[in-house]
Amino acid sequence: MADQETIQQVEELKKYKYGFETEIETEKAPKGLNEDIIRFISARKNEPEWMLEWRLEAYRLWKQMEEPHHWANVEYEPIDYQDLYYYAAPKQQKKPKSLDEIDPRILETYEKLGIPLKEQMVLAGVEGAPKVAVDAVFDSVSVATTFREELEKAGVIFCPISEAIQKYPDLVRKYLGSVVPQGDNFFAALNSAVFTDGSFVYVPKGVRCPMELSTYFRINEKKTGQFERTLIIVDEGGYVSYLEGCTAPMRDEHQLHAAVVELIAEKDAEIKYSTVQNWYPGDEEGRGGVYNFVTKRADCRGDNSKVSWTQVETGSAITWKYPSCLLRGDNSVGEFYSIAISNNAQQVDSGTKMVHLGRNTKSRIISKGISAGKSQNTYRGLVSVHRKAHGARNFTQCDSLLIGEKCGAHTVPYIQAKTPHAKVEHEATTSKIAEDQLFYLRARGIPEEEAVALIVNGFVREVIQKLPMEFMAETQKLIGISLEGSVG
Amino acid sequence: MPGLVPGIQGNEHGSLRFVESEQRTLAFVALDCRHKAGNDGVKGKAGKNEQNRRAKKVMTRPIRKLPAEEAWREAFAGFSVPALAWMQPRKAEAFARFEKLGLPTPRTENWRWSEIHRHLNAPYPPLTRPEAVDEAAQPALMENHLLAAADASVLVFVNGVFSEAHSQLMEEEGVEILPLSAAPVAPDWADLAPADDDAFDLLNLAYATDGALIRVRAGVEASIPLLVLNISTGEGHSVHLRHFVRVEAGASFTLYEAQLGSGDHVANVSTRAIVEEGAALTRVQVNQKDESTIHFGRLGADVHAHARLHDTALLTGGRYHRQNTYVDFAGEHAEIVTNSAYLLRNRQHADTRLRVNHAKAHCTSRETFKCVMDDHARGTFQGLIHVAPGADGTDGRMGAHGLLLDEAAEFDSKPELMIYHDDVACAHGSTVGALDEQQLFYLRARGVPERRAQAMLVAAFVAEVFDDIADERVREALTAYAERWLAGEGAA
Repeated sequence: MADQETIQQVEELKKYKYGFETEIETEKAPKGLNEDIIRFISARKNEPEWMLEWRLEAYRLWKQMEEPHHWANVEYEPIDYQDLYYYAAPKQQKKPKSLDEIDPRILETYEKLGIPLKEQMVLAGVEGAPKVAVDAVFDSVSVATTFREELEKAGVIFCPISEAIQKYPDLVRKYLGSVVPQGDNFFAALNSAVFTDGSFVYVPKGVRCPMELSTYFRINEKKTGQFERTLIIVDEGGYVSYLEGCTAPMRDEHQLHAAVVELIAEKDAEIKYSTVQNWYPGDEEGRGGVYNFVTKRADCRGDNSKVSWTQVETGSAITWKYPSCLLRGDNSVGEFYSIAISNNAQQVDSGTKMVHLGRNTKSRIISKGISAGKSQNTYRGLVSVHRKAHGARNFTQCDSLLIGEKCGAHTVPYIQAKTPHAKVEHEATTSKIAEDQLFYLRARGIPEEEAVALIVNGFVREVIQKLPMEFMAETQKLIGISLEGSVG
Repeated sequence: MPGLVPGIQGNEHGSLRFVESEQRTLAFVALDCRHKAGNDGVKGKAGKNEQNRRAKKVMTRPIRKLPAEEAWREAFAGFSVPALAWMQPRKAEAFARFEKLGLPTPRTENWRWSEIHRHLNAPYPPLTRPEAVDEAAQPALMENHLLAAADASVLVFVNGVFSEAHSQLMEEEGVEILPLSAAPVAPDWADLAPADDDAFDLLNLAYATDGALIRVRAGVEASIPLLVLNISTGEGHSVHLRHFVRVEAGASFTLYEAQLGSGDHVANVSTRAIVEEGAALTRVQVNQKDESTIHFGRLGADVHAHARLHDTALLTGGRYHRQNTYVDFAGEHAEIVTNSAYLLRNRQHADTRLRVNHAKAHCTSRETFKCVMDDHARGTFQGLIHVAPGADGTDGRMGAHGLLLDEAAEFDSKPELMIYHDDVACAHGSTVGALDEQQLFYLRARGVPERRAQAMLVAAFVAEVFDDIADERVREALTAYAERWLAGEGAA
């Protein structure tokens, strides 16, 4: 049965099916970046004075910084930061009160993307499946957040961060920038200065979030940078599972996406963060596509806290992203499961950092990289065990699969151990797709492209199983699509 | 216009040349240091300022020129070695290049764990005349080292100068061995060119006072190995030796190198090896200096088709030993093995940068590093297997394993794979931890005293590194040393 399904999926393969563009009126800030633009964004969002100050501080730091060209294994033409729009929003008269007031064309877009914004449509056809609350971000603003009432009953706050800044300033002030400070790195500073929207989640003490939370990001406008900021706080004993998906229209020019995600897990709290990143990867020659320069970091502050990152990276012309865990609480756990697929001219430099500071902290890294075409795929990771992290434990496994002779797969792990009371293990392998497996499938009449997709799906199975059920099927399909044209 | 792939210059498929910039810097691990102090979130204005201050500090910290670097920049004007007059133009060239390049900084990626700013914080001007050799101490030094067991010709260099009195060369047909200072002109078979991107190799050529020239004629399977003793003593100077070995087609040769001596000085020993088609070179290096010396060692090897290089190192002496090992495959079906053991205690620091460049198809490489650190010692390792486009059938395996015996010991490792071709099987593994409690318990339960049990496990941990050494006496000497080491008897 599963085989039939896969075959069907492979038949359905289209190029980049999310490459359409929605024609709606938008309101844009003038091109370029200066303090006035930041004031404009801040004013647009009705932000309090402290928020503007915070942004301006970030901007001043950013101006002193150099773009980090040198160390990541990616190459790109310099970005002209003055040739970008930093604010684009669908035009609307006032805030929509319900979904009916949102431009139907935006709703249509999300339907095309397969994101059901209407609550009753949630996972149509999958009866009894858990509900998913969705926050949809269109260019620079959040257009709709579903299931809010139900979440409020449980005490969970799930809303656009722009709204949180106004409604819950104390929470935002306390936690914003506490994991990724404004001056952390070039792109984080840029984001801190100009971020327009993103999701905010607060799970209070002892609450298990009753449903999966999800954000869908979409870049629509031309020459627009998307800078979203996600802040997730789970208080003592809480739990949340959060999903994130991304797409963009096909364009000849590059689009910049520089997000910052901060996760805070207090004592006994658990956060599960899953990403399926399918930004437009550019065409076969490397024209167009999204530059995905993202800073994601989790702070396991409390004892026994746990953060699990799962990512499927198939899109983007360039990916530069290292979801990390600071394991500060005793017995805290960090996990990182990643599938990174690159084809054509894509460049991926991704991995994780696990910083063990507390006692008996544990981390686990499973990374599967697949490179095809003439793409370059790099795993770059850090496992650092500090002097007081007695009983710390890490296991890392990085496997790379190469399809075709023009691609590259690289593994750059850093291991730093400062105490004998820790155990760190790292292993990595790199090989090409197994001839005998391919032959076996071909001999049974399975076309080469499908056979490759099957083998790759087997290769990444360990990670796919960590994904929430909703993402599993989508991911398997995505893998097929991403590798299209990689053989023969 | 930069190439598509960093580290690669030129675009022609198959003929890419791997150029690694020693100067490449990296900010990837910066996060780590920033959070060391702990970060309890933004609490009022003070917390915020604290964060910004830290962020700004990372950006603007200036890099200071080291006293050692200044001394090396100044010394060349008055530096000359009469015996090596023929080398002078090359020395000047190398020095000019060094002047431009300068020493690596703490931000230079390949030197990130080297702490040379701590070690080279004093001037170490080059030595031109041999200092009086303490006759009483030298025989002991020359006889009581781990490679003394080898039945070999001996070439001795004391403070950078060939010592005929202590050397003992046995004649063998087809094997030419002579000190660099005895060569009247540049031998056309010796390639003395420095690595352009390695500041210490440039310094080595610029300030070299002597070295060994070795040539093994085609087809000669040399039966007498050569033992080179690089002895340096004294304080506040640097000694530079440059060795060259060419093993011609189908020949084989064994080279032992012992780094001996004492005192707060810098020794810089560079060995260049060319292993021609079907030839074999075995090299064993031991650093047994006292814990005040600084040593920079380099092995640059070209390994041609069907040739074999087997390199083993035991780093157990010195305050700081930096090993740069760069191996390039220059032909197909060649094979290399690079194994190292670190046995470090007190405040010793051993640091290796290893790069194996699989530029040709069907080559095999094996790298095994076993590093044991006691007390405050630090072991660091940066290894890279690079596979060039078109290198079919590459088989590479790298392992870096650290064993920490005490609270303040540290191990840092970065085993890296850079692979630009699909028909490969490459793997690396890296682990770090303490001695296995269960194994200790097993031995203790059988009446083995604790210290002895630990020593046995340490010896077992590093044993693999010496396993392939063909000369039984040398292998046994090294293994026995590893067993004694923990008890402190091993100290030279």
